[in-house]
Amino acid sequence: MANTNSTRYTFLFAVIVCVVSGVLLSAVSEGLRKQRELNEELEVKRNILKAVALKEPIPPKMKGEDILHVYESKIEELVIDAQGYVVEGRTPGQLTAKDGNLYPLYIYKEDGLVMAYAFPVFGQGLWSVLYGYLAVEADATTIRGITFYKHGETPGLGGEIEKEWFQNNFKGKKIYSLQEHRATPIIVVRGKAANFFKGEALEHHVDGITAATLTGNGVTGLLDRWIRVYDVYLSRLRKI
Amino acid sequence: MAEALLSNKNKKILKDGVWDTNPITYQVLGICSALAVTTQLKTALVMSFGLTFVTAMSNVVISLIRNYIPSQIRIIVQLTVVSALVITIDQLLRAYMFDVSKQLSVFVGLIITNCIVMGRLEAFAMGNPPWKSFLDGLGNGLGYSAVLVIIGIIREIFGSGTLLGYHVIPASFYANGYVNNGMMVLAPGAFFLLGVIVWVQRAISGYSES
Amino acid sequence: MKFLEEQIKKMGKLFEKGKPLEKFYPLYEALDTFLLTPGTTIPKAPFVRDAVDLKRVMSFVVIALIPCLCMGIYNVGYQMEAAQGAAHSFWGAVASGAAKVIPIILVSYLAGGLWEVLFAVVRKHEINEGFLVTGILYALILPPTIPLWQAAVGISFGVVFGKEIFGGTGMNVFNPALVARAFVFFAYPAQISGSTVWVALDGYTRATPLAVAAATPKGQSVVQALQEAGYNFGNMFAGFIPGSIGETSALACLMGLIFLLVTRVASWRAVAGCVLGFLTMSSIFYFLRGPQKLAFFALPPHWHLVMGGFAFGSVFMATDPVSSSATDAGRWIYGFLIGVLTVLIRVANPAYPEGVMLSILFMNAFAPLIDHFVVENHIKRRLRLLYRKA
Repeated sequence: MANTNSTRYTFLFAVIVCVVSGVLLSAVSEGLRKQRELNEELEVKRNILKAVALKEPIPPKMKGEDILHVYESKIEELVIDAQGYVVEGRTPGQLTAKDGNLYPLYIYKEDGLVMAYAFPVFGQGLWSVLYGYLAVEADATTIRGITFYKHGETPGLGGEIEKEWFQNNFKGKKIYSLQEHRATPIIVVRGKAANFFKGEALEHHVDGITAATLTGNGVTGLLDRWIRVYDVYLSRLRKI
Repeated sequence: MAEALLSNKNKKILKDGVWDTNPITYQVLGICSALAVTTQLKTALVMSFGLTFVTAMSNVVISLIRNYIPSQIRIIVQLTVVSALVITIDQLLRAYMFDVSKQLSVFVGLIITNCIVMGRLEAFAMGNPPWKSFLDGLGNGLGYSAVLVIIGIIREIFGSGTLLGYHVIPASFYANGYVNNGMMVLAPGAFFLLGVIVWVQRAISGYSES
Repeated sequence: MKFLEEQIKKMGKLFEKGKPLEKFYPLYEALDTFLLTPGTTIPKAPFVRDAVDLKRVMSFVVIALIPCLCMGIYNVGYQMEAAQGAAHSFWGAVASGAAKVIPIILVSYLAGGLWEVLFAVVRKHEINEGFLVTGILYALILPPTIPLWQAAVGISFGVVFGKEIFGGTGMNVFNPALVARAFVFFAYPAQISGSTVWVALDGYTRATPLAVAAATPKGQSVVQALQEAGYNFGNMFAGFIPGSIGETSALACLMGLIFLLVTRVASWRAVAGCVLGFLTMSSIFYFLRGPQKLAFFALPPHWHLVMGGFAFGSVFMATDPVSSSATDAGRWIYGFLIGVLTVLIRVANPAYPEGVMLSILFMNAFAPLIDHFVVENHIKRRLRLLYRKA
């Protein structure tokens, strides 16, 4: 056997190890690229579909390709600017960090009829950044659904925001005040909203999570921020 | 044929990793991932499989080329082999078990720096033939897995009321005031369980640190 | 007395080595020594420095807790009546309060006692009366609505992980009652935090003073917010406010403190350190606050003192002879830091309305280190003196 401690041998060995592992890894990475990208895409689309509350909800075991198919047939993707105008020729998928003043918007259509408008919302909770999607009905006023899919809040307390019962609290609430003719923040209250508010005010207040007031405040804050951003667009859709 | 594949000596190599010198409870390695990925049994199982595979296979590869590795660069060669295996697993998970890979996040990648893997390579594979090295890697991987699975089962049942995603605590319990234990979902819960496992194992084996 | 003694000794023969009840010797031993002064001494802390022994010390602590217990029982009932809007009657309040509090205390003693006996039998050590204190301390720092099974799980954890794994009474690093409560706090947060658990009436919501203070929006007066919620210095000092069973009344804690100081069971230095640190930190917030800061900063230090569990914690937990520092200077440092941390967690951490439990547990971990440096320092000083003389 050659002298394994000579400089020449060491270099040669290092090169061989690098080439072999490099080739193997590239092959693996390239071979799986399509499947990986599909997964990342699916993750986003699945959450949008959940937020807009499809008429026929997708079954939990549905295959990836089928979900994509549903998404493509029902969801129209748009990009709007800070003034609320649609930017032609751009899609949400292409947006990068540089496009600070462009915002993605998803429109859910059933047989050509607009059912809902959905947009991403995120912001600071108590311990972590909360990520989700908010969907409003075709009247651009009533909340159709909300999802939170990523967060680091305390399980059992703030972590309840990812649960159905909490997300269902938002359904039917209004982001626009008919009396005051302006966008109104949706406020997550301590305890049951019906204990404190009546009539129209109840439409802007949502039941909170017991012992998670600060996560609730975070949700209030992030919804306020994003409803403001999208209101310039949504306000033009309201037939009032 | 000098020795049977599963001679007593070889069986002992396997058993040592699982019980006598268990990487977690005896060597106290790999604690970080044991805490981080055990809130659910599923992630614990996938992580266990990943680590067992990497430990066993890297042991075999390094053992095969152990006489050719220049000693000055042996650590970096070991690291390359381990990294290649780990990245492959990570890519496979991302492609075919996306949910699990999201929950495991960086911890699959961190198998590369897991002390168990490097420890076995340096301590065993560099000086032993491939089959013995394979058994050693397998034993240590299984020892790690056993602890992870036990913690994963307890944490998922008491922390979420489920096992592998299926509800195991009957709804009537909840109706009568039962509440899931939030501590089990947090990292300290895993710490306490780990402590109890070490306690039980040492009570059985009679081992004590002097 | 003589007769009792003879009977007990006679009974004791049954528990000796080789006799049928040998395994349960700890049970006999506990009864024997609780009633009669034992003839032996122990080699490890908590040491006795007086004519009283450890068991007497522990029974003094239990006696000192009586004002808090009585006040707690009455207040639990009083809060229920107030919430219902029912006419107030003293005995009615005591009865409904006792119906809530007594089961919690019983469960605490039963569940904790079970583990205590189990370990005593298996490990062949004595059953220690320290548990009589732990059991009631723990019950008094729970909300009156705590589900009994959660109380049982909590005390089991506290006894096993807070005490037995370290080797039993005298070896524990942390205060077992606080370990038990911390476990419940993190394991079942919905049953021990928020604003629905402090009054034992279903569906009734009333925030504790600390929660009100923490939730006061910027720019508003925190004192005013408290008064609007029905809290003033007087009723918070007396303890007619919602909260954990035994912690609401600063007055009752003060009575307990006086008893503990007169009997010299508690160290006045630890308590004084706590109060000093507490007032220092709350004054820093109060006097050095900027205009844009949280409303909570503007709470006067003497209000801070009567809110939450600080009074109870500093009197009964920070003075625990086992888990606190054992040197005089160490007790000052230990107490001072508990006070500072309590206010810091209260005011600056939005997630935890009260900080006394976590700060005492945290300082428990540092108590031996503080002692170590105090002793080292002492040795150095003495050595220096010695050399100077020589």
